[in-house]
This record gives sequence, structure tokens and C-alpha cells, in this order.
Amino acid sequence: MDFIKDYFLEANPNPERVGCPDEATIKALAEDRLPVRHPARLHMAACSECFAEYRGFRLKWLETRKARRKVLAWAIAASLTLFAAVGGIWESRHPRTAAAPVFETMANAPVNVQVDLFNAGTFRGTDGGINELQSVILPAAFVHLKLKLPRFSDSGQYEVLVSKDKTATHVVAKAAGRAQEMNGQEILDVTLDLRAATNGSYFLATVRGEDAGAYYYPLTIK
Amino acid sequence: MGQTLLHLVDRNGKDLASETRDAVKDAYDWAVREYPKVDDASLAGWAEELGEAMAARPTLIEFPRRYAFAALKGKIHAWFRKHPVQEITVGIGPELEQWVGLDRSPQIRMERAVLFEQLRTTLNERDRQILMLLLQDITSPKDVATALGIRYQAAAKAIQRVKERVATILSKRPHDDLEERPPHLCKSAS
Repeated sequence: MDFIKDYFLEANPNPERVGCPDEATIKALAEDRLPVRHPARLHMAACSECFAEYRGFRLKWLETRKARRKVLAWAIAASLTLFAAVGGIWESRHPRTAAAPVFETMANAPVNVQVDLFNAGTFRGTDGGINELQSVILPAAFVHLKLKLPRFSDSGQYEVLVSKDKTATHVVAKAAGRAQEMNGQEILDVTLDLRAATNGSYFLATVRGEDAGAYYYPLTIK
Repeated sequence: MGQTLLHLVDRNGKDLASETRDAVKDAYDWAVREYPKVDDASLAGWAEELGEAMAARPTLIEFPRRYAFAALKGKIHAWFRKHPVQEITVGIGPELEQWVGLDRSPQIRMERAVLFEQLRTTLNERDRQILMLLLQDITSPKDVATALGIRYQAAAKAIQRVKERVATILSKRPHDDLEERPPHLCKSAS
């Protein structure tokens, strides 16, 4: 494909930039934030300048994403290790009383919650701002979560994380599931154990298995 | 990556404005990745010249990044066009060719131009659009169908057809073994 790439970089000069999309659009295309049917994708077949700009953004984004995936993998591994260690210490210092099983049985009953993120704005990665468009509220319980994923989400395997921060160093709960298309919307069913979570503010993250693209939403546990 | 450091200053030796500096740096980073056969030091030199030129007329450049990409790409292509290259390889045959002054690179460039022309004339607009989608990692017939607003079966057939056409054109390349060597391994005949 290198030869074909070179062809498109040379063969369609458009120095006057006739009909070109703006830089923000090209950047969004390069970062897979626009749908496949976006017309600017086809414009690049006739404009070497736009294709060069696209390649610039794309190569940079791929490198950044690769580095971010490494950090995320390390962060998840570290947080799980820490979580297990803290859990072990907690268990050893707080032996369960006879009354505990009764409470546990009640708390174990799953709570069904539906969350609709179809029209939600998202921010990706660890350097975005706070998402003011969509906030999610979940109970501190065993939650069976039916998540309607944002528009243009892909089917496939996802991880859902509840963490205190966007670097996923303090993961409170984690679950995995497969998103399935239903009436043009992607639905993800997962079960999250939030019984150990204290009330407060968290982040709900969806991480797509194939590309490890993480999206974060503000979450309140009440 | 061991990339050459850029020294981006204006004609008076002052640092460039951040917007100009970022634009030139982005264009340079892209060029290093996109044209691995071109010497880093040459690219850095062109990027520095470009930064200096942009600093001299900041108000005339509305979109610095866009300008930097176009200008650097232009410099690279101009360099490819203007510099005949003699390959230096080990062995009696190539050495003899070099001594007698046989320069194969213009021939390679001519063949490349011919192949580009064949791509231009053989491929229709739909073919070019499909190739562009493939270059954007949109490879499944389902996604191609969505992008082009056609049916799945039509997209699958069109992808197959364009791959066959490109394969036919590229199979005619007579000198695949004569790819240009990196410029720093060659000497200029000019």
C-alpha cells in the first residue's frame, strides 16, 4: 500500500484548497471520531494536501494511542494488585460476624439499572475535561447494568470500569461484556459489584477490546 | 527514534512563535515517518528554512499547520524531482555502471510516473475512493458500503475489483529491485 499512499500524496495537487474541510475535521477523521460515511473521507481521494494532513494527524494519534494503551494496561494491573492486597488486609482485620450473611444476602440481590449514553458527549483518554453532558448515577449495590452505548459505537467486547480517577489507578469495580446491536443502538449488559463503593463521585469508563479506546463519564454512587 | 533536533528560529535568531513552531514541528515529524528514505538531516534543514520563512510573514499565513505541511511536502517532492541519484552498491557490475555513468534513478522515476499515470487512467473515481478508504483502515465491505452509500454486495465486488486492477498495474513494474536507496547512501550527480 506504500505505493498507493505515495500516489495519493502526489497525484491530486490542490494548492488552492478548493472544497477542503477544516483542520479540525481532518483531525477528527484521523482520530476515528467521525462516522465512516463522513464526506471528507472521500474528499481526500481527490486532494493530496488534505491526505498529507490526515496522515500527519493519524500517525501521531496512533503513536499516542499505543503509548496510552501501555500505560492503561500497567495502571489496571497495578490497581488490581493493590485492590487485592487491600482486600486481603481488610478481610484479615475484619472477620465476619454471624449477622453478616443476612446482610450479604440482601445486598447480593442485583439491582437492575438502565443507563442511556446514546446521545452522550464523551471525552477520550486521560487528558480531557469534565463531561458536562451526561452524568450517570448508580447505587452502591450489586448492579446489573444495561448500558446503551453512545452513537457510532461499535459492536464487540468491552470492559466497563468504575474508578476514582481517569488513569484507572483506583478501580472500584470492573466487568466485561459484549455489546450487541439492537434497533441501531449498541447495548452492553454487565454486572458490577459496587457494594464496597462508598458514596461519592467516580468515573464510569468503557474500554473497547479491539482498540482499547477508553471513554469516561462522570458517575455518582449514592 | 533518534530524530534530528530542530533549531527553529527566525532570521534574527529569536525563537519562533509557538503556533508556527508547533506547525513546523508537526510537519517535520510527519515527513520523517512518511519518507523514511529521505535523510533526517535534510528534512530538518528544510523544516528550519520553512520556519524561518514563515516567521518572516506571520500575518499572511492564516493556517500555519496547513501551510507547513504543504510547503514541506513541496520541498520533498521538488528534491525528489531535481536530484538525480547514483546508486552505490557493492559488486563489480554496479561499480562499472557507476564508472561509465549509467544512472538508473531517472529510469525508476520515469517508471514511477508511468505507473502513477496508469493508476490515474485505469482507476475510476469509485476505485480511487475505495483505495482511499482502505488507506484510512476502513477495510470491511460493510463499512465501505456505508461510506459510499451502496449495498454490501456491490461494495464487496468493488473492493475485489480495485485490488485486482492495482495488482495488475503493479505486476507490470519492471524494476522492483531498483527502489531508490536512501539519499544518505547515495551521492548527488549535480
